[in-house]
Amino acid sequence: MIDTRPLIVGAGPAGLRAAITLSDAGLHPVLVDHAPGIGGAVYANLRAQPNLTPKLTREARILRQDFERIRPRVDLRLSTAFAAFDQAGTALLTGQAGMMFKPRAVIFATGARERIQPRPGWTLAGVSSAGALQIALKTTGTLPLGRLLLAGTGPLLYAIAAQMVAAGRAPVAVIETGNPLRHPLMALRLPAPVLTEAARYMGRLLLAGVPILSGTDLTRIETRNGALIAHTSRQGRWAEIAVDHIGLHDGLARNDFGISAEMTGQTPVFQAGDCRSVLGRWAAEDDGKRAAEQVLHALKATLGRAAIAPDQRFVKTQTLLAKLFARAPSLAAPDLPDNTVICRCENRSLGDLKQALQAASEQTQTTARTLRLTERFGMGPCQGRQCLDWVAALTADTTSFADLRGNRWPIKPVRVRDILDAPDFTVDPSHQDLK
Amino acid sequence: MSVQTILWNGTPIAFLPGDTIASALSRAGITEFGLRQTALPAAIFCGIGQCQNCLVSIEGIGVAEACLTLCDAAQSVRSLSDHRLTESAHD
Repeated sequence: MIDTRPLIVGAGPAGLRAAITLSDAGLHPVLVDHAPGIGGAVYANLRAQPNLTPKLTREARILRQDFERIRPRVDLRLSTAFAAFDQAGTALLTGQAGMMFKPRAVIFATGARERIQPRPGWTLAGVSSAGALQIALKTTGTLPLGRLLLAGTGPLLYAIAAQMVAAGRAPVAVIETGNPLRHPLMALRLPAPVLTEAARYMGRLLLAGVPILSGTDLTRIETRNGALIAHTSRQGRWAEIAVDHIGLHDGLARNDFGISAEMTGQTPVFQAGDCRSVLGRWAAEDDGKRAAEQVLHALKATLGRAAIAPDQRFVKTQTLLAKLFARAPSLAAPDLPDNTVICRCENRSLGDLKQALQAASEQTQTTARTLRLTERFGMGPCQGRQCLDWVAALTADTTSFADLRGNRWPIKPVRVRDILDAPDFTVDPSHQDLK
Repeated sequence: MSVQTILWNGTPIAFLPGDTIASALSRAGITEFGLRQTALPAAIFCGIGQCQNCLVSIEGIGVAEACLTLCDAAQSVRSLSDHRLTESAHD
């Protein structure tokens, strides 16, 4: 039989809730995630090591319970990535439980990605995203050895800092480009659950005496005597902080590379959760349910309900948070030296980009295509997830983010062997020619 | 229970059930996983399989993300620079 079960990509809150909703309607979805367990990034403690007993939030416990209830009806494929679609609607899954099949509908729930501002030294070993430290903490209960520093901007930094304190590994400091604590009246307009959570984190940081250096930039990182030296700048005052590991975070963006609907031909495709709009875990679950209802409607498996617009409270919360964490006006724009690596995958620097723009302006218009093909920005294995925000900002008058990024498969690098090894369920075996 | 290990460039590194290659190496104080083709360090960066900065060569699997791949007993794992394997450039 040709396998046409609906496919859900990503087993975070949106994907899990979508799987639960489809299963409750009698469908048997395939749920795929390249991580070795469920939960996505936000509920990574759902895949904590067996020796840990993680404290789960109420939402995470309910989500797990609901998922366990329908678990026998879901084909959960972990350590397996969705790679691509072809023109005929064949989906390619690669990794531990790879296969080719023809899903009759697809929900992408691929979550968010961390935006990380390029800085000199951000490619050094020991410098990671702040989120990577949080994943380590949630799944293994441990953090890299030595002194930790968090820098950048946004609410996630404080959540991670507070979790580090709870794990007995308080960071040396949190360096924040905004002035979020300057606007207590604005902060009070946040919804109660967000405020409660924020108050709990800030309380824990205050009690532990973690310095929060607001209105401050981490301008560059270097190594000295085996340590990482973070150089900070605040209104013309400079400081150095010696640490062993630095977690960077400059906000979140949709992880929507290569998942647009127009690429999937006839197959109905929906996005759910942070990959559609970064509104956080509560909104993501609602959105997963909504996307599943859209699938049911598209397949006419039930009387479909009208699409539910995202709860405006979540949208307002994000708008307010963005204002609270706005870059301090007193802080100069980052002045990056030309040797700053912009594209980490291909080791292309700000100077390379400037030179290309200069050369191009003397001859012809610089386009996204020339920046990709001749300069290789966005062409490495991360496919531009890390550099294209910044390349687009630096070339705003000639290119756009959408043009730079393009829209193409696969959505992550694929080994040829994975394609050869993937069992093919796109054809009815009784009609298959003998090979 | 005896301690299980992976072989990192030939050296035994202990791991716990549920450890990824990255978390086992990190616990052992190893933050640099060799060099990438660009000569920049291979290391954990995004932690969730997006950035491809932590690619290593894993026995029985091939080139894969250290942050996503669970450890298997006695499995040999090598840095790409050590193994003379490279990420292939693509067009």
